[in-house]
Amino acid sequence: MRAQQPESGGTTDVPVNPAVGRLVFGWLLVGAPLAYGVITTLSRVGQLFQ
Amino acid sequence: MNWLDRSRSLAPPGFNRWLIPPAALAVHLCIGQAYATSVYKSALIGHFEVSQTAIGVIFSIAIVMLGLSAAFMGTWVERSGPRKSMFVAATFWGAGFLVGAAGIFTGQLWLLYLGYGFIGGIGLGIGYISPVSTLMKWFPDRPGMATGMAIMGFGGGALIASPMSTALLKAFDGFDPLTDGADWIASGASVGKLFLTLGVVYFLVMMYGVANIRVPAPGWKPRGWDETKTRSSAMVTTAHVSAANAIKTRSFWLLWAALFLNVTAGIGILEQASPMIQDFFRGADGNSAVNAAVAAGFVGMLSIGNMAGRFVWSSTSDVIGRKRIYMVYLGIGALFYVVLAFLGGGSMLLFVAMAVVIISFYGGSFATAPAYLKDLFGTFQVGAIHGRLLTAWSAAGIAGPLIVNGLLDAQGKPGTMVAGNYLPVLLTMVVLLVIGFVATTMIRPVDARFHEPEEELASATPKGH
Repeated sequence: MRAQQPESGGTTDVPVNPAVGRLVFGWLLVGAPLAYGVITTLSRVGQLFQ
Repeated sequence: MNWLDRSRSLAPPGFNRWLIPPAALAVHLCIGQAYATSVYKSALIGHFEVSQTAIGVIFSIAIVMLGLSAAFMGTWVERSGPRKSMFVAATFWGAGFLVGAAGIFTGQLWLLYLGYGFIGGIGLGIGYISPVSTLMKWFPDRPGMATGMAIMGFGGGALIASPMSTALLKAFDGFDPLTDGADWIASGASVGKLFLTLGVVYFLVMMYGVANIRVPAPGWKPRGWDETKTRSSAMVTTAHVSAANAIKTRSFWLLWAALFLNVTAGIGILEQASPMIQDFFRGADGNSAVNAAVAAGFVGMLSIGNMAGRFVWSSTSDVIGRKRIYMVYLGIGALFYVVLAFLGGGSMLLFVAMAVVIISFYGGSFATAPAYLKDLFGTFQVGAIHGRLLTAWSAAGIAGPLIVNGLLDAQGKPGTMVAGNYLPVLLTMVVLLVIGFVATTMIRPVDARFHEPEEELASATPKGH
């Protein structure tokens, strides 16, 4: 994968491995259920102002 | 198991730090289920044929164990590193559900106390503090945002667990909307199956966090981050204080008091959310303009406010400072409670808006606390200090409901009260918040006599931050 912005890794500057696949999987794993919970809750909240 | 050791979780050069928040969230989203126990409360009351209090005790044991395990295991968590402590948390949390399920299937309530309450509660406490200090080390430029992301997960966990548990209970019971009415209550057997399912699923999701958590290498810092800018404030220390010394400082106990008072006041609304909105809009004929379904929508709105406040306000604290944001939580919070008490009954929109902001401050105070501790005491044992601070939560969990229920019991019976009956409760919360505001203004940088000597730090710092 293409290296992006460098960050300090200890005493030397090392390019950051973006690890796109792991990043997308990780954020989907936590983001998808959270989105499900928020949308389900908001659908109930809608009744408040009907 | 060597792979759980701190030294084995050291990040390689070039590691992307944005992989850490999902690992932390995987833990907090799972343990946040603790806020969704009301979903099966009626089913358990029917299954065991006991009172509401007998079932409510399960949650109380879990929250007390959360505070105690966070306080007493905090130093171990700091020493062992996030991977080992998250693994222990996953094991206790998952095992708690399995032992609880055994209690449900065999009709032994004490097993439910032992499983979900005692064993699961230990998982809650260790899981809550495990990833927090690691996140702050990966995001020294934005510690409030980092801890806000993880602790937001604890608020969001209930948003997921509540509808998911309802759907699973209906599936296990073979719920039929045509024959089962709105007053359907799940069977005990289906709650037992739910516990088995949750125990396994939560363990696996938390293991994702265990496998992917990393500690930064010594000396690591984000590119372009100027440490001196962050530490330009007198309230941000460059020194480090041990957990043993932190609890000897006045600032720790002032922050403990501020958190305790803010959480106590927040619980005042959370505890009574559903009956409160119905009572506030009760007409002269005794009927409320708000039915149970609408009140449930209000409770959902509070959950979203609680979750969003954790991220938004904690991130804001990176810009305006921890002390100022706590003054907002307590000062503006007190003001909004006054508005709610005197004007809330006149407008549904105003009532909901005030309540949601107050609850967002409640969540924000939890999420900002670790970053505030880091500012005051450094990163040396911030996880352990955070664990000790969380006893304020346990104490508020006992004090808040006692105050609210005690004052409301003196006002009348549930289902017959109106907005005016809530004045004593709400004005008591205002007094608590004002005291908390004064406590916050008194927080000062920690005296140098509590700082760890440099040579002690060098010998005590484990490999990896």
